[in-house]
Amino acid sequence: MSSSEQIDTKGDGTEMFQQDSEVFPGSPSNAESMEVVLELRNLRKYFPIKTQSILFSKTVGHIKAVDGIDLQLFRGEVLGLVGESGCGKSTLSKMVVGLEKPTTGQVWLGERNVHEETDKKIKLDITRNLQMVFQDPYNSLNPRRMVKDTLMEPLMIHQLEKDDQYGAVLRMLKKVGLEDYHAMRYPHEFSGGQRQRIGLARALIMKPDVIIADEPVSALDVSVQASILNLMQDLQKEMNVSIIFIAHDLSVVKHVSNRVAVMYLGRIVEIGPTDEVFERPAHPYSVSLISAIPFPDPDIEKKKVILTGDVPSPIDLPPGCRFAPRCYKVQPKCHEESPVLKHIRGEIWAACHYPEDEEVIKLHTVKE
Amino acid sequence: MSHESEDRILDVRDIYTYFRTEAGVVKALDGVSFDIRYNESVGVVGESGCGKTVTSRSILQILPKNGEVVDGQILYKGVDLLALTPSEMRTVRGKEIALLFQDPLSALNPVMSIREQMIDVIMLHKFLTEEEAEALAVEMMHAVGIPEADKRIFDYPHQYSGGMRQRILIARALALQPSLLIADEPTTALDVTIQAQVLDIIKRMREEHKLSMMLITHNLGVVAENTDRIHVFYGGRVVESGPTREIFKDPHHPYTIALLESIPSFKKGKGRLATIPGSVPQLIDPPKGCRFHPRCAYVTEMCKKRPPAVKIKTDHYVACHHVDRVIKRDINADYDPNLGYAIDNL
Amino acid sequence: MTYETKTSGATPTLKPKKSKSEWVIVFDRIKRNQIALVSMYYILFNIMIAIFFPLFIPYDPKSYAPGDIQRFGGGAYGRPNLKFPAGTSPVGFDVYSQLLAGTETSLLVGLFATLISVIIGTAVGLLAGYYKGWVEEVLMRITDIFLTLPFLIMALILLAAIKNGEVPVLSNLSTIQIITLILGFFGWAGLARLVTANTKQVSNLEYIDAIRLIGARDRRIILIHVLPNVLTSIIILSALLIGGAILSEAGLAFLGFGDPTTVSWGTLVSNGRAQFNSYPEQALIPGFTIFFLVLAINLFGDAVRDALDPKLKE
Repeated sequence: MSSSEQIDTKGDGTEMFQQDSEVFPGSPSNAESMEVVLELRNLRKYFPIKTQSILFSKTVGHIKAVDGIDLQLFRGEVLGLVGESGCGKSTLSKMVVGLEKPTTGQVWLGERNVHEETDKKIKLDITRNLQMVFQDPYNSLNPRRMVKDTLMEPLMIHQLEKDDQYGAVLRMLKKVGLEDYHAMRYPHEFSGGQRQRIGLARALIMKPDVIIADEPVSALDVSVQASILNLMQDLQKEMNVSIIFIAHDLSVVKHVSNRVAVMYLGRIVEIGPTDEVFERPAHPYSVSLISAIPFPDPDIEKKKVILTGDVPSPIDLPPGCRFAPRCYKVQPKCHEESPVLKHIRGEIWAACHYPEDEEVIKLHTVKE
Repeated sequence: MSHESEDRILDVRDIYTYFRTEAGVVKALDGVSFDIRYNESVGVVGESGCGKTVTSRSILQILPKNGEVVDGQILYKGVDLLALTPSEMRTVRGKEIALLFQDPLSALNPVMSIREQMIDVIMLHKFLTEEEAEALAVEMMHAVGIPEADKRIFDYPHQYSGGMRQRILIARALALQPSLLIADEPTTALDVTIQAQVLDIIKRMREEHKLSMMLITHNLGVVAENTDRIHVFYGGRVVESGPTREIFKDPHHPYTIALLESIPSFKKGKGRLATIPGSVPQLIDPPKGCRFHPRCAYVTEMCKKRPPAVKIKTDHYVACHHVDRVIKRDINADYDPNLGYAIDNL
Repeated sequence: MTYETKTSGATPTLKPKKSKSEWVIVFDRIKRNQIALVSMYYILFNIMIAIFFPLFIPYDPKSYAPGDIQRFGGGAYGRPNLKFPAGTSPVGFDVYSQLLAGTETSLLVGLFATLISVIIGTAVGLLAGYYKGWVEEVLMRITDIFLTLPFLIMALILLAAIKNGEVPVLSNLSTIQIITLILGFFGWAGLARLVTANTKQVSNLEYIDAIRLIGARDRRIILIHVLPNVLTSIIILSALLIGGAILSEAGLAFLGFGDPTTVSWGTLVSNGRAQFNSYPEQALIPGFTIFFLVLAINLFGDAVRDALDPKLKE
């Protein structure tokens, strides 16, 4: 894929991919043998910034929350999505599930276009297959509905398990580690961890293909977080569902995901198998991000790459590489040319002109 | 132990802080004792509702109206803070003990410029003229890494990012040259790379100003990298305290062990994480005896009746009846970590 | 904690705790508030009177049959006495009977006017708050217009117009019914604003997204998931609206635009005004009756709001 096409904002993703029969950016080498359940093609979301005026408002610029994302999700995989606040993780997840309309680009769930499908039946089937687990266990359940109503609702709308919907609810509750009598309770009677289990049950009860988990454990205590992560892993394997796992806690992502994508200011800057990315990151941003994680082991000496400055606002983006103003190895070329996601080594893809060498990066050493 | 008290900047002895609420008395702190030595960085670790924040607020006596320290002593440089008058306490706050909040935005007044907010505090405590105060403020802002501090001091809080605001609060706190810094989750609201920046600044400032620090956090990684000693809180009590390395390498309290095993970390593989059944106790009606007993893998009848005594092993304190069994990891045969999920904590 | 480890040999006790509904908790809180309790009993007392007043009144409060005047024997401007506890009116009616009968008028006007306001205001608020964008823009501008219209002048013009038969559909209604309609029609704007704000807040919560993702239609989301969660604030504001409507009806009646065929507290104050210097009780007794009921309603509304305020923490 040439860089001119990559920057083309009006570009129609389909055409682009017809012209381009090469490897999908960021795909692992064995991509052919796996089934793609979800594909994002050149996905962008620009929020207009308008002048405040009573009658006529003028668009003076755009917040480029998500700016050209190509991503494939394979069946049965957990893809971690990491990045700092404002990098576009949440906007991306909302576009994927259809809560937010993309400015350009498409989301394909198998053969179906999530945003452009008009047939009501197919649309309903798309929603059944694309579910979400939310961050806040306190706001993601309707406080005035009993657990059984919350869990029964999807079955009723999609007319699933028609002969025994209540039985299906109870079976689902059992799966997430709750008891039958919990069905008759209201959300305020549960602890945060239990509520997150109910949220998980609501997403899984329709047996979806894909689940977007947006910071599902970040509001929980450490000891509770572990049990939710275990549960998610068990159910993921049992139901063979694909998960996009969004989190700012990198150790959690490292624990649950098979592949990981690092986002910076609306773009994926690095993607690859989790262990490889965390051990030998190629993009300087990933390097500093991973080195910044506080390490719960006093015996491990860590090389810290401390960045200067803050994440720039996505309104006035610097030309060239977006990370250039904070990068520790910035070169003149970085300010001129925007790097494209390209294959670096092994299974790692990164968008950088001067990626880190495998030999150079060794972040953790055991203290003597 | 009295001979040791000279090297302690803060000695909290057996404090009880209660809150009166509609539903009953919340025993937020129930006999908490710990200490901080000069030039030492001490971590206070625990999950939500364990009493971390209440401890810092009890020390500075900035509890909400319905809360009160009902018993105990808080000795700061040998003086009992609980016996001071409100006006004496005001000089202690800020000038002696500085507090750093979790949310840097709410700690700054949105309608006042940074300059006003900084020099107000400095002039109040240090008896400087306005020019001197401003010069000091700029110097401190420069020291915490705010570029063009002499110009940016005229900006308002909303013109700064979260990380920058936390730097300003650090600068303001340290301008008064306090001896003790209480940092209450100072980086929880910040992103990882910004967290690393802020922690780096705190570390540097601590070395420059010979500052003792009490770092309150739930993030075990932050504690491991930034403290010399740790106090682990659970349900309004200290369950274990000792040198950071020892706590991480050789924890003796079942809660500490479980907590450390439950965090996903780089070293571990993709396997299952250790879990603790149930959830944190409600402090209105806390479990009798040892507060961890309903979730503990070593529980016996004794744990349900008596709160455990503090056992000493050179600088390492553990509040557990069964330390010897814990060392051997002699878990109850019928313990099931998955049991407690469904069980109500209400 | 109902949880015990199995060390004791017993299986964990899983005692299902009885669910306490939100309203039970709220009522428990209200019960602890003395002022709210007194207000509540006073409102209930008024409601009982409004329903059962024919059983308690000694004299017909509103007969205008020729010769009826002064037939009760109290004479005009009678001071309160044992036979006529609140005295007799300028034309000889028993004021006590009229007060009791007026309770029904006041409460009915208050209730129905509020009902109309609540229906309009809730519908407008839910639509504006849920759909946002231009729907909100248009509905909120209309709401603004209703908020800024001078109520009294508009009410008087409308009243006159309807009475003159200029609105054929409404020409068969009695004056008090027209007044109820007008009060309801002018009272919804404040509520619409509140419901809009609350709806926006609720529909930004994650569970609304979750329900949308399940594939539920807008109508279902609004009625089943949004409305119940804004209901509490609607109920609280309605209580205040009832008080306001009672007051406005009394005001209109006081100005002489009431229904001459209906006994109402406002009319009583208006009648008693003429000889205020000599017979202050003629105006003060019905005046205080209005005052106490409206005060009780407002205090009770406040208490309900307070009881709901610290969000259902146990």
